[in-house]
Amino acid sequence: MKTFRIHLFASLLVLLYSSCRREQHTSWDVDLLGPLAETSLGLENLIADSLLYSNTDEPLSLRFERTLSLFPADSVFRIPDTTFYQTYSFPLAVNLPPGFTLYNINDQIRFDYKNTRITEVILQEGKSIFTLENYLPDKLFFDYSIQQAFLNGNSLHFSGIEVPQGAFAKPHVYNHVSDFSNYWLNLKGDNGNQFNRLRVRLNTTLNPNGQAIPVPGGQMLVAYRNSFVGLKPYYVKGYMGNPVFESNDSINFEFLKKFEGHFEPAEINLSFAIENGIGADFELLVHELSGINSRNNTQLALQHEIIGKRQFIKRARNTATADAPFTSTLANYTLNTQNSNLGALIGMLPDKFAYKARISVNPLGNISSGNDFLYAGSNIKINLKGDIPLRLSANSLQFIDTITTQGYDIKALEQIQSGKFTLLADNGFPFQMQVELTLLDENRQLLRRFFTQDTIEAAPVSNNLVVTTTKRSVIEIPYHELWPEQLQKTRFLVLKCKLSSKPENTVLAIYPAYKLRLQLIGNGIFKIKLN
Amino acid sequence: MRWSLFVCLFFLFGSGAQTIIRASEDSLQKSPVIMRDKPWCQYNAGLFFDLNTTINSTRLPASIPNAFVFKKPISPEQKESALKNLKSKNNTGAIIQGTIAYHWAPPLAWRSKVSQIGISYSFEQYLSTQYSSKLFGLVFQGNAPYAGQTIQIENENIQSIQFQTLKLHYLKNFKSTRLSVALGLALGNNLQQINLDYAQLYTEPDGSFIDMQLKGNMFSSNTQQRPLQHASAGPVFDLAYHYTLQKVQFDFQAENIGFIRWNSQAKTYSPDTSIHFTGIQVQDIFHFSTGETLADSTLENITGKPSQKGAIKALPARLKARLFWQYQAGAGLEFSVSQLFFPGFKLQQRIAWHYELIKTAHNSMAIQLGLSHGGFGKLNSFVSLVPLHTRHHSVRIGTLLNEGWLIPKRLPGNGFVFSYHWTP
Repeated sequence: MKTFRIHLFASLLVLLYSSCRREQHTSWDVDLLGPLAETSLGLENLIADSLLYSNTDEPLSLRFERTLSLFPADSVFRIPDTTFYQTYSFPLAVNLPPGFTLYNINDQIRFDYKNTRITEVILQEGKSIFTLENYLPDKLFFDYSIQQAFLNGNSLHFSGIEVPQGAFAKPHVYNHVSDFSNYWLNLKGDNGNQFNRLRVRLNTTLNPNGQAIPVPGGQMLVAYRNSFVGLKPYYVKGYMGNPVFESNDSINFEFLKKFEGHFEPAEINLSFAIENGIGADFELLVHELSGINSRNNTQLALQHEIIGKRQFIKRARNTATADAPFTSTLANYTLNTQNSNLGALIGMLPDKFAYKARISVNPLGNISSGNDFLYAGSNIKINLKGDIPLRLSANSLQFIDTITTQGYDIKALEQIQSGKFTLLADNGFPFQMQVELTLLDENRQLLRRFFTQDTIEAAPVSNNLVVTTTKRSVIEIPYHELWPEQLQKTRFLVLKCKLSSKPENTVLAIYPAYKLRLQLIGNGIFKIKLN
Repeated sequence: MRWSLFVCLFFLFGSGAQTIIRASEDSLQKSPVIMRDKPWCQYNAGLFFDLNTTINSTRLPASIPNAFVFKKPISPEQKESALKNLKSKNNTGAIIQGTIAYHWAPPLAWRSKVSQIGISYSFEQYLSTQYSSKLFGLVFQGNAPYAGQTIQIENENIQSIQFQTLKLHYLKNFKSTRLSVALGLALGNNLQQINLDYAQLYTEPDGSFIDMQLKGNMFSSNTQQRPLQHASAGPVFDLAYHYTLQKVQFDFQAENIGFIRWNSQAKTYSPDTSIHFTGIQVQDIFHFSTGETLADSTLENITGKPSQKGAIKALPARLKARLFWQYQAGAGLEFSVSQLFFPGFKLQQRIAWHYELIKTAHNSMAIQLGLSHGGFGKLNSFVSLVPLHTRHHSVRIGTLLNEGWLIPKRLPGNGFVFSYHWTP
């Protein structure tokens, strides 16, 4: 009896335990309804704030300003690195007495760059590297000077410099580096009527207190090297020559890549000013300026009087003051929908503007008699200003954006048993929108499309074509059990939104207050699980 | 399966939450039968182990709490049935207690002062909630069925405490009375208190917004519930008195008089907020994340920022008085009242009939049947059995609060008890 009771008791304990182990979670279903997320979209979400401009109660404008420097100043009239090299030897064997003058150079070195004729240079930076190689078995002494290179009124000069003895096989190498920053170089030569010239003097003597040195014929005795490196002018005077620059380039407008289709802006104003900051005349010839839509491979050339017509821009004025040493000359041009085909050009939504142009400096020759000038800050610039009031008529204008993601691991979705999501769209824009959201995996393979048949209705407009109230559209999205897995695999989200003006073919202004408010609402059976 | 299990347990063992089994017709002191919650002054020296659970409610059918205990799904029918049963105010509570103790006679030199010395360790967990049927509906059905309605709820409370005690017991016998005291340390594992003074919820029928008002406070000890991970501690004190007069026995006991000082990791929230919720605000729809951080900040908007500091909280003390009358050999009646000082627990009155079924030279078997009123529930019956009782071993096992076992989909209350006593 005792044994039976113990066994029975043990069996029941096991039974009780096993009955407790069958289910892993306490769970129940709840019917939930409520808002999950909301956002408000304005034009600033699509276009950078820096490009949008508005005054209170006025339509938004798309404004942009770009400055193009046609060339860096030091690429035009920079002084190239220049090296002078000479050696000294006797053809026959000789015996050199103490104090013998070995080497006496008095040369004009020449800085040539294309057909420029530079007479004066003030250097911003640069250096002169002087090297002397002594092959003699006794020390040397030398003097070196550039008399037309001045710093604070003093010319460059050093004398009595000792170079220790070398050997016929292995010379002693002496180096001296002179900082040329702020040096004024007079390049007019000895007579003052030349250009690109700079006289250098070098005198080398053998140790006067040494002994006679026998040297074989043809033996190199001294080698001299003088390099001018990195000479960057602050100011250049002379004749700049007549270089010609051909430019074949493009300007990208990345944000417009997100748009496709066609729209008709009611008004566009584009102005550009050509600023001549160099002391030489130049001529601009714009061969072509085209808008390119790289999404559909279309291109449209600008039609305006500036195209194909030489524009002569006069030289800047040299004021030689510390704050503003020169005054640029300006030439202004205006393009709008009246004097050009700019409307059509912008309407095709180009994401790139390509241009071909030629710039000729001093097209009339040396008419300044060598008084061209250039400062470090001088350049030829084009200041481009655009103002496109956002008054437009859109017909299937499509916004496309691709967002990369690491996937969305939303655990809560797995607890949804059934139900739907509802997107409430309160549209404050007078545009009908057809939205499509596509999920792509890492190989850009389709996972799921949302909103393929749904339309967000346009807000109604008043008689003066202004939106006074928003329009609500309700889009229902039934939940699918594959969502969690598909969202987890998503690597690219492609958002497309097709815009059409309502009323159709009507020019409508976009005001800063126009917003699209989106609200996501969940409604369904959700399983609560307790661990 | 569970029904079969219940029938087996009921008819073979029986149970009783506060059972006293009498199997001896001799004096009470000579009775060898274990009584689970009798005062220390009635224990014989030896090893004692006890485990009991109680889940009871004024209105909530047992199937709902059973789903939590046994980790089972709650069906829509169970929820419907519960909702029908619930009233505007309801009460549900649960107790889990486990105790292991050892006590012995002291050295002879001490016996003039102390008759027995004991040491005990216990693990205790109490859960109690006072709630309206509206809150139950919201939690178990969701807010969608209430869309378009303003749900107002008041004075909803949940409290849960889990702690362990380690006590030293001293017992002194007098001529017809015994007195025992116990002093010890209470080690707190977890304390959660949520008091919702007032809340209001409105869900727009199209789901576009939820309006919510919330006023209340919440205390969270913010500790994990692993039994040996002690967050906090405090002193605890027990007192028991026993008096015998012929065939009548009277006991009084006070347990767990003390407190725990919860450490400085505890957080107190005091929300008094009104929220119009239209969804988590997404600033950049083109580069959004899953929004968990946003969800956290939204939750913090509701609860407010917590203050983090320690707090002293009283333990759920219990007072109990009991009268036992052995009206004939092998049979007796017991009357008791007890009060647990824990929210939702009402004064509990009990009456029980004890009867010795079998008695041999070396063994005996006894049964107890009774009724109780109060506690976390209302009127309940209970039954328990001592199937094994010898000179050295005694086992008691059974269910508690039978209604929840019998008709779990409609009636509240169930539990389980097991105890074992070894005497050298």
